[in-house]
Amino acid sequence: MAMADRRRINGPTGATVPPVFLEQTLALTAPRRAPDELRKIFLKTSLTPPATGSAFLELSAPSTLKLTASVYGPRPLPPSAGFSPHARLSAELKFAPFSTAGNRRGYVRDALERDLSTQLQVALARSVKTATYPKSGIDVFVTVLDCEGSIDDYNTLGIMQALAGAITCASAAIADAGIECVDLVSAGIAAAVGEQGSLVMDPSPLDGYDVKAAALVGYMAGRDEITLLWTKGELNIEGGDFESVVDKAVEVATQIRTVLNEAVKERVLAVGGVNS
Amino acid sequence: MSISITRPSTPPSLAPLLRTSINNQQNQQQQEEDADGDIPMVSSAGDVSIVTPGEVVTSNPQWMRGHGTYLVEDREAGGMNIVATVAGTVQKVNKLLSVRPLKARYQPEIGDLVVGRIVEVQSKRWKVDINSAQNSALLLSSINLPGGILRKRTSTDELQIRTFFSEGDLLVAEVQSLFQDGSASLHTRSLKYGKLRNGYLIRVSSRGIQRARSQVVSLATANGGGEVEVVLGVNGYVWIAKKANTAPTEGVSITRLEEEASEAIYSSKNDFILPATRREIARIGNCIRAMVRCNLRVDEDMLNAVYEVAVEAADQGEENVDASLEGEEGRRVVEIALARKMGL
Repeated sequence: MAMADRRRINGPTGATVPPVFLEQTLALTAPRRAPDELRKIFLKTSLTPPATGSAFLELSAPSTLKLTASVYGPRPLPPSAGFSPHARLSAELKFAPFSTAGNRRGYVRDALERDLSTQLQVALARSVKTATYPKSGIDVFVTVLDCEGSIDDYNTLGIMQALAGAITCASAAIADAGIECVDLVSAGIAAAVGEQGSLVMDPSPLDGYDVKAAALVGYMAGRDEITLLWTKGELNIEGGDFESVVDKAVEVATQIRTVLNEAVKERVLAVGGVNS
Repeated sequence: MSISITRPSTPPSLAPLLRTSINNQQNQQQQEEDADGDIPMVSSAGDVSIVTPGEVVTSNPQWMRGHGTYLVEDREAGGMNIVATVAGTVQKVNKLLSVRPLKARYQPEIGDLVVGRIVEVQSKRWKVDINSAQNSALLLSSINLPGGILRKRTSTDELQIRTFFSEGDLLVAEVQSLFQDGSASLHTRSLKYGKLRNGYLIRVSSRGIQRARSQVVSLATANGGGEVEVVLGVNGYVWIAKKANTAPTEGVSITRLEEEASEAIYSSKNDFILPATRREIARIGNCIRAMVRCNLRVDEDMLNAVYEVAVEAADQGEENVDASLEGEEGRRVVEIALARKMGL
């Protein structure tokens, strides 16, 4: 025992066998949605008490995507940050160690999380009225609790779905925090699949499509503005295929926006807005 | 146009109790507006004007935009739209349209009584957390220095700045002025203000505490708890403490009183507080939390009424009564108190 690591809490000495679960077979048995049918979204705000604003997002089965967003601020920046006439919005996206099927993820922030955090920041920053809060910081933290399948094999659709959920959820949390924003941001994904390149709205990695190309947009429906565009795959730009995929993604985002509006409104109604 | 008058809001289950008063208010408002010659607003039952960020509130140019809105050009129809920037209820005052968010950071205004915590000590001032977007400043020159109010601030005071307030200390102060960026400068130049001790702090939403004539409430508690003082900071910080013994020891002149006060004024030492008093302080804290959760205005009358009901509920000896007044129990206590207040 002399070699025991004293800095950490050591496990019990008696060995136990970790449970072994059968492979998930949901993807094969689940009925395939129509190509223009979106999955149902559960979105609820104000679930993290210490945060200024927070939201939780979950997609209907067979999808397993679950994530939470919490917003802190606007709060004073440390003096070392220097003067800033606008609020600084920082965003951090983190995958929980237990979020992926199969292998556990490490705690340390990796390149993928860094990349997604930046994209999340870009998607949200455009919507917040940062000029209203000088010298302040607004911090957005998104934790992905469950992904759709594993994301380690560079399953792009799974990563895209996680980012799209994060954008929508974080925007709900910002609105819940009472931070002034010009519009809410919802994110949608569309893909061109198969030999013909037929368009599919809100494709899930569990649907088993042969994805040729996919596009994610962060979209402010009230202002008709795109805040973030991420495309993947091979598309013919001259033939208008690219535009059609992006347009389809915007259509998805517009539909998701109605859910976002309802979730934000629901909280106001439940707590303070009823007057009859 | 889908704008309606938004009245003071009440949670659904409390609504029937308040119906009479709200209807009266509504009629009054309606009449006033007719007299002003404004357009009559539709306000049928269940007509709630709740908007989300990015939603167009109105395109009618007769309205001025207030807080929680911004102007954006209408690309199709031309002209300007007033668009909401926060989620909340639409409010109109004459021709001013604003959107009131459900929860927002506290925005200091001159004259507000706030409870705050020292977060940083600098050479000539303190930085105080008052639950707003920016920390506020408390200058050494805007506190009562011991040894008389009219004393001049010296460099010795600067060196021993931590003897007045140090990090983590709680204080009650008034907003003296506002800086360009909206942050506040505080002062404690009154015997009513200064360091807080002998009690505990609860934090509620700043929307739960409204500006009133008096922000300091004194309660005579039950069960031998004695007098308890509640400082309702407009910023949502509430201080509940045993009331200080202010009876003068002997006949003193004004200057003598000042000296005595200033000796104790910066003491960080708590008095011994009886368990009975502690219990009542905690109960009052739970009452305030329950009132804020039920969207009820916290003032002297209502706090007294709710506290009374809470004491009775605990006295009835129901073992399963949740003394923390969380959830349903708190709502029940608040509803009973409100019903009593309305004379039902």
